Amino acid sequence: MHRRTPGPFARGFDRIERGLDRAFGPEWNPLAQLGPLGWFLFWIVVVTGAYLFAFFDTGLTETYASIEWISREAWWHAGVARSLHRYASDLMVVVMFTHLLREWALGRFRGARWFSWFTGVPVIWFVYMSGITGFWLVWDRLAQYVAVRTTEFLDTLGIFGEPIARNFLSPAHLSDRFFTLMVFLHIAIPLLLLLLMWIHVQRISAARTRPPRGLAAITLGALVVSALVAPAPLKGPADLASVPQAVGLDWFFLSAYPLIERAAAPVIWIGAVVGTVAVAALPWAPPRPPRPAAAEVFLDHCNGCERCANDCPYNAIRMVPRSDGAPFAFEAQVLADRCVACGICMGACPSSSPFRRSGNLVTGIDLPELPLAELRAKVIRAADEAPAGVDGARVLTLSCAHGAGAEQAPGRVVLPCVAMAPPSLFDFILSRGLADGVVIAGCAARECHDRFGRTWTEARIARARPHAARTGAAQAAAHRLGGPERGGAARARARRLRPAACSDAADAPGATHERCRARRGAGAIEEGGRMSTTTEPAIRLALGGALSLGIVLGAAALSQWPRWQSVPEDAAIVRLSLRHGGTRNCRAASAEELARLPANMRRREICERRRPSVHLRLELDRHTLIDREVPPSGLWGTGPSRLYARFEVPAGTHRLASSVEDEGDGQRWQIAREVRIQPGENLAIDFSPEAGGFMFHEGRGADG
Amino acid sequence: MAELVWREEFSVGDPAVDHEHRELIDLVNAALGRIAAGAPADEIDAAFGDLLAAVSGHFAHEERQMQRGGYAAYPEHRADHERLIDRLRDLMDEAHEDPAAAAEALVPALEEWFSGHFATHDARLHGALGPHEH
Repeated sequence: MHRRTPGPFARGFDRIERGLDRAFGPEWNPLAQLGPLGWFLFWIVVVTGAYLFAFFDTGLTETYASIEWISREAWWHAGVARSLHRYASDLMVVVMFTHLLREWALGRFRGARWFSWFTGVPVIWFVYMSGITGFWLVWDRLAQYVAVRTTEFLDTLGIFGEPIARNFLSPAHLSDRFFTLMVFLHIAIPLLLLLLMWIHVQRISAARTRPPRGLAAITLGALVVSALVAPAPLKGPADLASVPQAVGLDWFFLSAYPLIERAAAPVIWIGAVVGTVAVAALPWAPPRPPRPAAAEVFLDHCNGCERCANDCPYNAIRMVPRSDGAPFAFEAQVLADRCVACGICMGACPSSSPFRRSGNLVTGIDLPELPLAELRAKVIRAADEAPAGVDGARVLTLSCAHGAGAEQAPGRVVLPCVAMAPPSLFDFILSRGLADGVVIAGCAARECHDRFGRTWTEARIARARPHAARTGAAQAAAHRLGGPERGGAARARARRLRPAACSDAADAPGATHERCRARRGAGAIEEGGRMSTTTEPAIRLALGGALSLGIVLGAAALSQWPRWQSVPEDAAIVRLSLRHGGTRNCRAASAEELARLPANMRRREICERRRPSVHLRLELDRHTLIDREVPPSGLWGTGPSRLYARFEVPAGTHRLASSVEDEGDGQRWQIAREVRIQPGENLAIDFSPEAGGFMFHEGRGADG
Repeated sequence: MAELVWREEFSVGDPAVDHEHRELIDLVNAALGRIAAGAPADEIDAAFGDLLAAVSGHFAHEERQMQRGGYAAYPEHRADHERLIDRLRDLMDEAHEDPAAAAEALVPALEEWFSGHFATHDARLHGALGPHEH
């Protein structure tokens, strides 16, 4: 059986989760519900988004006006919806990365689990794209910052014919329809995100996409309170005549922007691609632990009852038409690449009875690394070694390899998952007198390493899930230990014997492990009852609610603070845009050339396909800002030369001089002008011969 | 000790179920035979073990059919299965301690199964489900 020693991150998570177990109770522990919480937050964002859309207007001024109305006049409904939309998105980022880190720390990304990991990586990018397009729609100062910086960054890819950032050159450049496009993107991208999230959970059975009601209520409550106490910020309308110098960034979605501003674009693009590929490839990265052999079906003992397929947490078993001529319709088939060898199928198989048989002890579906026969032998051996408790009762422990009882000890059989033990095994142990009691020590109550191992075990014992064991086999575990013949004290103790007596001790960190073992030694599970958290729901609601509120308020704060100084207070921005097609070099066609062409294709001039470059120069107080050849665009150089550039300049009076020279016909345009630039001003210089050469769009100083 | 004999009226009209019922009868007879022949306790134990595994598998198969077919009397039928397993387990425990006494008890108990459970519950079940895949 392969078991990873928990690393420092896994131990760290365990420590925090223990604390949260106390506040929320194991069932509502948010760290054990990160996936479902992500889904829940997504739906909050969808519902509030649909509501906001009803009040949203698209247009240069109408957009901001509608958001202002939402946030001010309609603060008590649409405003709350907007804050929920924003903070639930922020929390989604937190939940997503914590989920990623936790699955990585617990080693749940290798082997059969590669699929969920791998498909989770694009989810990250789509969450970001969904969020960032949302910031644009508000069309406030932050939106302006995000829009301009994003388009400038995308333009560095060089795949867009016209620089997109040109749309934001000056107020005159922006069109109403741009907002329509953004709304479309902000709906289309989240729809694709939903598709990816759906794909992300396809390889697991009965994916948990809904958190427990209590946790959902706590989360929603904390969001609503935060929305009322600290509504989502709205920072004045966007104004392309000036530049947002300092912006309250949403650090969850926009923390890369300071980097985008400062680092060279290729570094960021390459970093993003390399980082994404590296994270996506983690399941195959060394050191690769050996993969346990997949479960195996034995058709002589399989009548196609489907119990294994129903209980498999990884969709690794499917029912296929019978292949051996037996008069049954189906048989189980294991999809080896999805099997994690948890053995839950073996525990579900009704043929997995450990009682002696005429032939070999074979079951319908078995685990090659720990087959039923070996499990039976181990149990008998462990029973021989089981130490007697204070009252002489011998207790055998069946423990989870990922829980507190993961290490070998006398009287203990370690299983890949406790649900691997068929319920008839408990009956076998007790009725054959191998032990006086059986303790089933699963993994942490908040979350099972193999998803449903704990749940199925408890349900099988309570007979809520079908299995073929004697009624009350598990109750018998308690009964035999403290049965009538052993007196009241033992009975009282036995009552505390729960299927997961050591259940709150996840991932076997040393201390808890010792505690659990100490308890076993001192008369078995004497303190078993105390080991699971039994906080009252009302206390859990209050404690969990207070903690959640703290987290959401913290997120709300980071959603706009600390501010980022994008452009120094005394600086302004000059943007330069060029669009000009160099005049092609042509020559007169000779008589022979014309004669070779059909009459209808004869042209007097033959021109080069490629346009010549355009030379551009911009000076500020005789200091050169740019002086370069701008090549024609298009794969074959047939398009016009295009350029977009921004320069940070100190505020004050400057002499700006610019010139453009067509290297085809030698035509030259030039302009020189004295300008007084205010701090925070956005001064745009647009060159287009069709529009009359140089166009100056003077801005105005920013209000800060 | 009379052996159980498959009778046509045991048939519930479903080849897979009939096949398993016949297997069960064979296993019961094997157990009885071993007891009658005074076989060692281990062998008797093993015969019961074979029967338990087969019965468990058979019930699971039937329960799946009931759930698939939306059989209204599923809870009762399942409870009956559980009762029969309990009875068999009791017999096993008794046989473990006193094989001869258990043999005496086994035949009437199993007779009751076949004439009672198979004929009523199973026939009703397969009648209710109609022609079906398993």
